Amino acid sequence: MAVALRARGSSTGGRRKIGVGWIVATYVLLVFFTLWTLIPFFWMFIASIKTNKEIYQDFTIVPRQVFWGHYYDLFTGPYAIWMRNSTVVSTAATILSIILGSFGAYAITRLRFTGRRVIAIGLVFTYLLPASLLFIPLFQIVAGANLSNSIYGLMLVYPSFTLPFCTWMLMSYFRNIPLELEEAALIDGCGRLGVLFRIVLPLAAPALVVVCLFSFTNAWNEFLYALVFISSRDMQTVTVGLALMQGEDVFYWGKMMAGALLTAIPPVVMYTLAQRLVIQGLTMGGVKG
Amino acid sequence: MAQQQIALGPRRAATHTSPALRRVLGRDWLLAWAMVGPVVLIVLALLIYPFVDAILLSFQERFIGKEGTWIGFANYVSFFNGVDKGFGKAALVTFIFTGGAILGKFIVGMAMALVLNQQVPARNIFRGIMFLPWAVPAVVSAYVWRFLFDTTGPINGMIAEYGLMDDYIYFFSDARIALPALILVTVWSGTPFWTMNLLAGLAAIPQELYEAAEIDGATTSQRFLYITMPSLQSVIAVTAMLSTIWTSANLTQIFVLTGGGPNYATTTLPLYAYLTAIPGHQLGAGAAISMMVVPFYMILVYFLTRRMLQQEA
Repeated sequence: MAVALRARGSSTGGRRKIGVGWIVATYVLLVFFTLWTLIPFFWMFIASIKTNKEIYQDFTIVPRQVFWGHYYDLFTGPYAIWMRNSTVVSTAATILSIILGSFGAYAITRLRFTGRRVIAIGLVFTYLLPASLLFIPLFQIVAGANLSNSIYGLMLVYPSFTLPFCTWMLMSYFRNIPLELEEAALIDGCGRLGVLFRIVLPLAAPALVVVCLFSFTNAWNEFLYALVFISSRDMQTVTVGLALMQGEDVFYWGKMMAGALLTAIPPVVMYTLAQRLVIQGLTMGGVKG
Repeated sequence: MAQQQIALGPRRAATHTSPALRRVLGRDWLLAWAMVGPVVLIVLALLIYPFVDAILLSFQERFIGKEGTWIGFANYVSFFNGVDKGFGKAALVTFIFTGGAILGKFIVGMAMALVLNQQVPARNIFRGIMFLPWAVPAVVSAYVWRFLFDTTGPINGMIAEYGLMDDYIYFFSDARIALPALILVTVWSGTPFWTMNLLAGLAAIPQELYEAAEIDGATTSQRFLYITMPSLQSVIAVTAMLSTIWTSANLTQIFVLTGGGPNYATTTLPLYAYLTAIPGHQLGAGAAISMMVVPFYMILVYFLTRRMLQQEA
């Protein structure tokens, strides 16, 4: 994702003049790709406000009447608890990761010590290590700590992916803060921690926000650990709770699409917010493209 | 990285240590380790230790909640002598799934990036829309497509309503359609990552190259083949490697869409490891399945680590 974050900001390129034919072709393709992207979202929303009769018997594209009952159904079940669990776990993992990650990233980018390179390599390595390689031993650890079937188990484990991510992202941002500012502060008698809190972190504020948003989103979207560590439905996070809703024989599509829509909202909102901030952060920090 | 160090200023953290120690541990070692220590500890505890533990587990017969028995390579041997019938199939499915999905993401992502790179009004709005599937949780995207493909869903709904075909398409109970359908969903949700990276790569190509080529009379396809593609080579390589790791390891969408069926037609190795270890209670065998893909990851991670550190330096 390191590459991805930067890509969002790029707006140069394609400066050459193009002919009418190309403009038409471009718009045809733009419309095509927009439809390809949006049609699933469209159906998700439409199904969530259709009555069961219109979903299962009379096929309609646009519903004849708007029906909010699926959303009501959703909240008579454990959905609100799943939402709360996801929020708590994602927030906890993000706060821990951004604090420890800030210190770690500063040390790696700005201080001189033996082992720095090994730690930097180790971070990339762990950032790339997929959860599907680790869930079995982590399951044992969580069970051994008597934390299975509890969101505390997830809070323990989620930093395994949010922390390397935060540290790695912050490293590239910190590197682009001009050294001269720090040098001046150090000469004026400011300590290292003073430099971090008074100069680096305020300058990196947009980056901190972006990294927080992405870390929260990653934790919110997480699936495998929650599936493996939590066995009781009422204790689940929203992604797994949602997935296990289809366990029953009948597919309650209206309710399931309503749940899917609400689950997608927090990351989509954060992504939309972050997109603007990333561009802002890019122009401020002059990050390499 | 060396030139980025601060050469000036008081060095309080280091004043109490002897020069010799400082030379070995580095100038700022005390403060540095105090700051980076928690990160290192958590990474060791949550990633390195479990990783080693998974290796040890893979040599045991171990059921959930029981003590393990050391059985050496027996778990691994069972993959090759036909005792474990699912492994070979899962490996093949993983290969087809990953290969198909990467190819699809590359083609659609490239087309999207080229279109979004055109200087047309409102392209930032289009970018925002086309990146959306990337932000959506994997469960949600899988769920929506499950609905689209369901017999009571819109695709079959339209087929029935407008008489397009004689029968419904049973996307997930027909073994020949299930895997391609799964690949399609993965392409839908994974394309934005490719588009973003390719767009960044396109933006970095100097415009002078295109201008010079145009003066020399190069056609559009020639410019694409001889300027665009070679310039994107390294972006494509990095994106392909990252995408391979994440696509092959991701079992969320498969879990939701097909659960691995019908008849293991969509069971990839990570899902097979999950099914063996958790519902099947055989932690040792599950760990061994996970470990079989590690050599491939190691090769990819080795090249990626080198590239990513190069970029950062």
